[in-house]
Amino acid sequence: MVNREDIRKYFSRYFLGRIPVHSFCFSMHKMNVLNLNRNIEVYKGVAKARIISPLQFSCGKLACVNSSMKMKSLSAKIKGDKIKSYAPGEIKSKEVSLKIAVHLRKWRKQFALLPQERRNRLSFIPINERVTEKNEFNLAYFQPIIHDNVSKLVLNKQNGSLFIWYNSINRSFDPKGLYMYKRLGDKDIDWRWIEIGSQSKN
Amino acid sequence: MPVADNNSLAYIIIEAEEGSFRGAVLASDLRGIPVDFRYTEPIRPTKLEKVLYGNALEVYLKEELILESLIRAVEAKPALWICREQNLLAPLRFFTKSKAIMLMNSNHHPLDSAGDIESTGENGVYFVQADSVSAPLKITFQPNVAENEVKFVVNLLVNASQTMELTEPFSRMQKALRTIATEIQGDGK
Repeated sequence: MVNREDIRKYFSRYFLGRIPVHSFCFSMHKMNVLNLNRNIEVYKGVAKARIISPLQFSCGKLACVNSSMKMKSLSAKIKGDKIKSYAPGEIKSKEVSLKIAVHLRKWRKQFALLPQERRNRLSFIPINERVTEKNEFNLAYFQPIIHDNVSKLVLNKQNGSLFIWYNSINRSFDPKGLYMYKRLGDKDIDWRWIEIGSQSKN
Repeated sequence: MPVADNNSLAYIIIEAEEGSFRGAVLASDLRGIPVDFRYTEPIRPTKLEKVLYGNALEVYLKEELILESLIRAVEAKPALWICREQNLLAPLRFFTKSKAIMLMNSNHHPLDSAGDIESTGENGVYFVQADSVSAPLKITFQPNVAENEVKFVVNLLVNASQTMELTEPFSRMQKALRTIATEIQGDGK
């Protein structure tokens, strides 16, 4: 009787190298099932607000943290320049004054050099009442002028006003009026002082 | 406390120009001759001050800070304080605790004679004929002013107009401020 082993050997010799024989394992790999769900963790992005009075910064007390850190003992061991105290986070605030300052100056002496100005008042005196003589016509009338105090008179040709420089030392208070007039045929203008109140004939 | 000097007047001007504020006070005798003149250096508010004070900045500077400083600086005590801005009148009276008016020239027809008064119809505002050869002046008192105060002020102005031109000091003060500003600019260069 031919046993099965003999048959296998026979056929294996016969087919040797012609048919590849593979073994096959039916055992399946264990599948890993992954959960796609995510856990959401919420972090607070904003820290609690801290309000620090600016006065705390200006008083300089933050710098005193140095004393608790014993920086002195550290500095003694280091050769060379001493380490200057340093407080991290030290903030210096600048105080802003809310009061606006006013600076006053005296200028009386210089101001006294400025001339007073008189405008022409001729238009307020009716033509038939103006003080004038024959062959004269008035161009302007100025008042009041303290005649005894006058040190200089200048006619402002731009607007017809009169500049007056007074000598302030003189204490006279005697006011006068001043006519500026022209005589027919003359090129130059002339001046006439009159008492106040007599600037018109009435 | 100085006694009121019936022979002097005090003129006040406060100007705002190109973002800066300045003021001046002139105390003069009745001839217009200066007894005292003081001015403030120009005040130019910073951006921070503009933000902090807001709309109240101009009022604070003109009607309080500059005005009060000028009034305090004047050593004499004049019989009358004179301004030409309506909004300065009430604070001027408040700080000086004295008689104060706003004074302006007018184009009103001349009144009959020197010393004449005509009401404008507004409370406390009058035309006053100070002398016989000019248009009347327009004078503003505080509302409901007492009649005797009006008389006192008119008498003073009529008296002063015999020896000085009453509104002229304002233009002289402006010239002075312009001269000072030019000097300051010259020094700064």
